[in-house]
Amino acid sequence: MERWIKRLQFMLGIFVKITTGVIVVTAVYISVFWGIKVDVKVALLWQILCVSALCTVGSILLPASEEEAQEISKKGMLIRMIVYFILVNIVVLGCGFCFQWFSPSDWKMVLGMEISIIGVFVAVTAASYFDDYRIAEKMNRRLKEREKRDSE
Amino acid sequence: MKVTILEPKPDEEDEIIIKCANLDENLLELIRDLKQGSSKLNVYRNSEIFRIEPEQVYYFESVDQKVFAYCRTDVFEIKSKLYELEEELPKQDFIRAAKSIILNLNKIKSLTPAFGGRFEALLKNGEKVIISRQYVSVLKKKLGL
Repeated sequence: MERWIKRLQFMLGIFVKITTGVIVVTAVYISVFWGIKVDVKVALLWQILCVSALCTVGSILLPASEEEAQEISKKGMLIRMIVYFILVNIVVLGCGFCFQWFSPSDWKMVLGMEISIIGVFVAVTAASYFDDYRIAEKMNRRLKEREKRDSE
Repeated sequence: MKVTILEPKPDEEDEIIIKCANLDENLLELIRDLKQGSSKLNVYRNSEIFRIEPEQVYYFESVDQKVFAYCRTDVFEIKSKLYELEEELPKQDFIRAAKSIILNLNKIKSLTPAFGGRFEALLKNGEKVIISRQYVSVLKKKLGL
């Protein structure tokens, strides 16, 4: 039961983050490709919620708690993140096509969508990875100093 | 066995005197423990009992209500709970790496990010242990960061 509550809390958090990201990207995308004065329908809000909900379902691939995370190796986590990224791509492009956010024949629009997805995903992942990498380097230096001190 | 504790005179240093008819193996073990500060751990494998130094252990892991001590190549069961070990083990050398793991800092070869705020510790015996996000701050503090 506790595991399910944690999973729901985790998915709710993901849903909020994705919705925020999609709203920002949609605002930029509409401004660039349709102009800033274009009228949008209320249906767009439901479409955004729908995309966010579908992307959130895919987050079932990611660990929701420390216990779950502990069971997944570094390689396993990387694979899950890549699969999740592909899933997000399919969901956003598929929904974008169904909701007529872009015309598949207009390669600039398709490219714009793809750049938006990759941009958000890579920026978020890379920023946190490089921050952790910097911390790991510092800790490795301290471990070496500690080993040197102990061997003297 | 009778145990007598006497208070030394102000100019005397603390002393343990063992009064016995014969010095058997158990008594020798006790003397060894007293000299070493009783730091050895009782571990089990195939219904045999072994005494090992905590420093020999790479990490302790709790699996299905049992706690195991992972050495360079050997694995032993230990009867203590993880929270008890956390109290007993030298605090400068051992840290909680996850809810189910206590890790020996001296056995870490290197650390790399493992995504999601976690870190992977490559141990000197080639094994890899994941350090949970919630214990990374403890590790950083221990290393003076």
